[in-house]
Amino acid sequence: MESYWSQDILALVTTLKVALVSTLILLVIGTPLAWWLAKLQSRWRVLIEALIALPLVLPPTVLGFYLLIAFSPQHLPGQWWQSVTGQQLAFSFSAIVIGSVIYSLPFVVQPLQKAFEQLDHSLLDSGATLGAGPLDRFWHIILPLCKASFITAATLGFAHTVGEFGVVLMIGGNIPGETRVLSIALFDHVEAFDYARAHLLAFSLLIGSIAVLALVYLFNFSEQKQQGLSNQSRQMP
Amino acid sequence: MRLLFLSLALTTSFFSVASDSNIDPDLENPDESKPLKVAVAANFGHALKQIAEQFTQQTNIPVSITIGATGGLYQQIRHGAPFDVFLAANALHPQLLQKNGFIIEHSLQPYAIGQLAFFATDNAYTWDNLPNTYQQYGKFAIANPTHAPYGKAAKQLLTNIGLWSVLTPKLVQGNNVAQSYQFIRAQAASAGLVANSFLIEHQQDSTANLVPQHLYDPIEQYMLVLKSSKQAKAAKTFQQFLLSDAIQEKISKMGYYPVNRPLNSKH
Repeated sequence: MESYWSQDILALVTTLKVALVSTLILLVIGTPLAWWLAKLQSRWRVLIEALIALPLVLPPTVLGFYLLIAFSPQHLPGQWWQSVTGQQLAFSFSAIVIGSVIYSLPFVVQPLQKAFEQLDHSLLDSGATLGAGPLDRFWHIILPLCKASFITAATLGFAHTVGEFGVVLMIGGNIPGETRVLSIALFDHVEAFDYARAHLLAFSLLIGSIAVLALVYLFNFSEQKQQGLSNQSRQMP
Repeated sequence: MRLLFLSLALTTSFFSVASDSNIDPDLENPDESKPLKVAVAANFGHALKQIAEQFTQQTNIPVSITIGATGGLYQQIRHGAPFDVFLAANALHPQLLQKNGFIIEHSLQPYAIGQLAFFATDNAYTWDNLPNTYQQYGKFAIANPTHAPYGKAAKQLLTNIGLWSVLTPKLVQGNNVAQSYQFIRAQAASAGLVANSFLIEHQQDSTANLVPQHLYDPIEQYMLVLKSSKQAKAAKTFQQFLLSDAIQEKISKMGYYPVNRPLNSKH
């Protein structure tokens, strides 16, 4: 009985690990990317935006298929990884993190880009005039002003990674503790007619997802309300 | 070319592809009945296409084929998918359909027995030297042993030859046997156990790598006619055709053991 549930707990822990690591990487990559895109005037911007949005429309199997080939030890990216880390990339924890980062990229870049585009640049200019360096300006002006968007981006990236299935199914290989995530475990239970466990996992995922999304919208809602209030009070004579 | 093969294998295992046989019933036989709708497990899809062509030539009954995973097709049938015949990859799902009253009486019978084969893209790795070379493998691919019939057989086999526990750290599981085959074709796994039908379909030399049949329980693939079928007669004809000597002989050249022969005789 204990090992029966511990398998699902292990899948849960693996899922949270993948989602957490992916979200951190996504924020580190996504923030400069979104900033750069928000500032970019070139016509190439359209192409880059389209590339980033691709995972929204492509079936995950397409991405999974390309990644499976790229990650194999016979092909360049997989070969390079193996020579640097000494480990095979296909069917590893790192592989599904890379897959998740690509697959969740639009969920992080798009809200950040929108926030950066709407940013009041006179504030940054004043900051610069007062002697704040670029990092200072990021931590003390941009971050507080775009807080809500950062939280939205991080949460959507995290939640989308938790909900990922197709890419992991194709490049994971279903290894316990490494690549067997909740969605895969759930799928296995359904395939094996173990509906009791499937229901439990499905229901937990459902409740968890609703809770996370509701928290984000609640946060955004109260932010907007605050802003609305402060705007109103500013308008008062 | 390899990419093409891979993408073909990919399509068959991940999507249900409905492909009509060559003869369009509305054009060729305007007065004929509608095509016989056959749902087939991915591993038998390729074989069925050829068999159905022959069937249509001989009987004038057109056949439309839907390829999918046995579990997925099972769910579709339980929810009212309008198939006439179901060719599964195992006995479990057909038996469940029988238990729940979805099938025509006495239509449940085996039509082919799957062959498990060892497969590696590197010719240095063979079934015979598996016990001596497995240490050099990266990953070893099998189908999911908890629900895929070829995965179950693979686990039995590896257990019986005493390699299950030493290979466990190297194991990667495909959701079905087609995916385990892709893992190896994409060279993401060094070797693995797959359906011999894939090796024959893609002209991989498997003669040396067919694993001994006595080391795992027969992978009996069952077929049935659905109660909801409006073409029960044509479906019955199709079943008989599939079990005929000529077709069973044909099946035995496509990576299956025939069902109407003693199990232990090699073809």
